[in-house]
Amino acid sequence: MDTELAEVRALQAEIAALRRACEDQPAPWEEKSGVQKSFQAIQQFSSEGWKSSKDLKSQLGHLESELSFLSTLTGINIRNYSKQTEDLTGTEMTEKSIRKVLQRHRLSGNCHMVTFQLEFQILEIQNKERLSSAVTDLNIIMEPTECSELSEFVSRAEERKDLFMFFRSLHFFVEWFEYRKRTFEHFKEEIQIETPEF
Amino acid sequence: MEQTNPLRPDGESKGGVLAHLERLETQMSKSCKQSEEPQSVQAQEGALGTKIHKLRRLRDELRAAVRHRQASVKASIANVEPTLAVEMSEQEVLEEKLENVKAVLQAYRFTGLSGKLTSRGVCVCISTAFEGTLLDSYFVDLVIQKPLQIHHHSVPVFIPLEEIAAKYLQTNIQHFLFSLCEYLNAYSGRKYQADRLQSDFAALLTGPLQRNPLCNLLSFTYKLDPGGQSFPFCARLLYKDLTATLPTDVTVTYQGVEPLSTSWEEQRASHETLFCTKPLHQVFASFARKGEKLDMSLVS
Repeated sequence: MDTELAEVRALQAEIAALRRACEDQPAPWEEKSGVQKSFQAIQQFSSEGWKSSKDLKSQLGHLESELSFLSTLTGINIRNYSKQTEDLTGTEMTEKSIRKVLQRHRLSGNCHMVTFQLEFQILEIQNKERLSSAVTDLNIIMEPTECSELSEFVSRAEERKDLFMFFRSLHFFVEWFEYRKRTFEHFKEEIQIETPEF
Repeated sequence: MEQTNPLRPDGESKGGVLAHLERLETQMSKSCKQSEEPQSVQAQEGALGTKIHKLRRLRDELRAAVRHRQASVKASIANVEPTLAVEMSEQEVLEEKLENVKAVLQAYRFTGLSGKLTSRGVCVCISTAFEGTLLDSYFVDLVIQKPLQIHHHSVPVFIPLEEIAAKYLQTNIQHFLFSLCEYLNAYSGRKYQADRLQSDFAALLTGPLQRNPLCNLLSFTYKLDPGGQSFPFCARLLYKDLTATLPTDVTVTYQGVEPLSTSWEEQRASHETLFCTKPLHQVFASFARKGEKLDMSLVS
């Protein structure tokens, strides 16, 4: 009963706030001259708009440099991420103070010329003593697909549901591959220099 | 709430939405008065449920009304002040970008390494996991100056942080962090296996599990058939490689007076191999499964 009463109060507060929002905003169909209409609207938006635009830009700049640092540090460039949460707590579980939540994550990005797309699920179970978090499903799609060494550690990571192992292996593999390529290019150049022209 | 005369022609649509909301509200206050009369608890709970339902509807309608107004105002501005409309949508683009960047930053913890820039430098967060299970996180707060310094951290004292820092911190931050990651993940994994053994397979242990803080030296006695007559096996697991989650040295001994029969000796030897090749709690899980089959074979 208490939670319901709390919900009633919360709803009433939200309704009061929404009402105020309705009143504050000039309704465009009110009987006012065109100039006055736009003046009101401009006033409302610019007081918040101008200031926050500058704040937004500097905030964005700061976060983008954070992102650039992490990308350089991990060798992994994440471009997109989204998450969905589903509460699986049943009534029986709530009685025993157990909470079960299923998270669905999707992320994609690249590591040099290798692109990846991951979809994984994490099941969180909270009981009185502790919170446990486990990956319950992991799907990895990689591009290029022909590389056998790549597919090998990808399937191992999927099997063990080991996210960290996947990213570490990917980083080291790509670094090693790039190093090999550079070394090969270097020797190719050397050989060309030494080969006499016919 | 403004009083609208529903007969005013230009106030028609306003009268529409707001009047509708007013009607909902009147309905609400009526049911409020009703629930104020003394009623049984069940009737009160039922009335509450209905009230919540009505309040939710009213709230959803108001939300839609606010959104509708916002959209209309924007549209009218676009007609009158096109540049302002462009600037506003620039703001929306910025906001969207910001949301995306924030989300991607959150996602970095799934790579095992994430962090935040600080006024002094950077605070790196190392996440640990053992196979699919996510475990504790640790942080290292670095001050960017010459020489690079660790301002503070949450790394346990028995992890050789100073050693790793001495080797790599000044020349290669990435290597320093990757190495620290290895040690922390391995420690987390060993700790997890020992915890699982204690919590899930206590029935097969005949004494307390002995372990050191680094969880790289474990000692325990166990029996495959807890109720049975045989003497327990005593296992000692040493993990010399601190970046590994499997032991390097395993000895399984028999605590009885009489020498072991051939089949038991085979068992003992196979257990040594098992502990070297599979995670501790998974070995015990297979013991628990074989337990029933083992009983059958002893009887026959």
